[in-house]
Amino acid sequence: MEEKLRHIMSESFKVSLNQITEETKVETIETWDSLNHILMVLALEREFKITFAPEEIIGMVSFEEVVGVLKQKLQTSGIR
Amino acid sequence: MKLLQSIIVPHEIVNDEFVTVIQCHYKSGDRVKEGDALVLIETSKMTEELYAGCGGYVYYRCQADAEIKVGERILEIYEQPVSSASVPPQKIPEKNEAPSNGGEAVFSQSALRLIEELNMSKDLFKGRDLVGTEDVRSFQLQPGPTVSDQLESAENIEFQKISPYKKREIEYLNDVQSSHLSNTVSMLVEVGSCLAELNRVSKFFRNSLLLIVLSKLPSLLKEYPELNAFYKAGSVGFYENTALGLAVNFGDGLRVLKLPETGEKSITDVEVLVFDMIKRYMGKKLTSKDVAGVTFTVTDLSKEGIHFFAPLIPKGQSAILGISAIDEKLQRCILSLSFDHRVTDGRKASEFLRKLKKRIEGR
Repeated sequence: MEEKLRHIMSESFKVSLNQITEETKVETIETWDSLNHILMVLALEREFKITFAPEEIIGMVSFEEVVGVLKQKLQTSGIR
Repeated sequence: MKLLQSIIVPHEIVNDEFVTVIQCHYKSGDRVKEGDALVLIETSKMTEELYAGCGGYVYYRCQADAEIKVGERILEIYEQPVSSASVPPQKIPEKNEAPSNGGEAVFSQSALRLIEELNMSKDLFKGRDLVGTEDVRSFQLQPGPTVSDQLESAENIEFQKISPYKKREIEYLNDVQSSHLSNTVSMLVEVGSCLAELNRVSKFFRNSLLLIVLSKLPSLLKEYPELNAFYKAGSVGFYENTALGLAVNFGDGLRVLKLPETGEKSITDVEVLVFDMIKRYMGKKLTSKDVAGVTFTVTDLSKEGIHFFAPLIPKGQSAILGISAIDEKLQRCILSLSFDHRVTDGRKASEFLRKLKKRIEGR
């Protein structure tokens, strides 16, 4: 799941894969803006067949946070 | 031949005068069921499917790429198949197409004689309706080729037709601007006192006043009803409610998304609303209700590094607010308000901006 996430973040933010690490935060990627954030969210929803609530969307401000929200969503929806 | 349903381009979905037919999903004479999507149309703000209200045989009165005037019939559904002679295909004229006579001008006898005397070509009058001797004489007196003629005949220029969507956009923005009575005032906002807090609260709209502007505008617009209004045929229409629109362009042209009520909300709550709307737009989940009925638009070019711009007022509105980039060194940003002078004036517009500035600066 985390590897898929890295790929999606890399494509959404138009940065190389090695720039996406566990330490990645919205402050560390210049292209992680509102538009690319939505692109990432939509790609995650498509990939994992889930839907994020608006409050979850604005809370996903780092790789770690995205993983946390994703795991929670996948557990709730029964997907692993 | 019993007509079961006529579908016209509905007035309620658009402010536009024309829409473009993107795709007819069936052929004329095909059998359709109730609820089938029959035709996809595009307005200046969105695409919209029109559905069959009953089953029957569909006969289109348009084709793909045609421009249809709002209120005109777009298709019909009959109980039984009908002959094509009974349902003549309706030619939908291009907006700027010459009328009636197939683009050929009609000449008076005296004009024809004069053309012959002067050894002129009748082609010079293509696109005109009626041509008299005065028209011929005025043409004769015209000096050499115009700039437009030169551009059209230049060999090193490639012309590309603008997209139907761009046409809608022009129509949407031309309405107020064509009056030549719009103007723009601007004001510097000191952001030193609020920027750190804004950047702390919102990670995705860093270094932008967008969210705080959206939260402050609804109550301020209540004090300035003339900025939440529109001009029409010698009258001013005042909207009872405020519906803020956010102009966005994600590479597929200008769109204005209608935001839910943002007044008296925290910056975080406004951010949630904005994200939700952008996500629905990009996920193609918007309905006509999500874009229709905007009464005041905000456009934010702060990400583009723009220090000042004069935004164009959308159709059906009297003003639009532009947010420029924050000068991080000087800790300030320019807000610009374009307004329709037929509805309000520079003094009112400046007063509005000054109050908005104070509210943003927390004074």
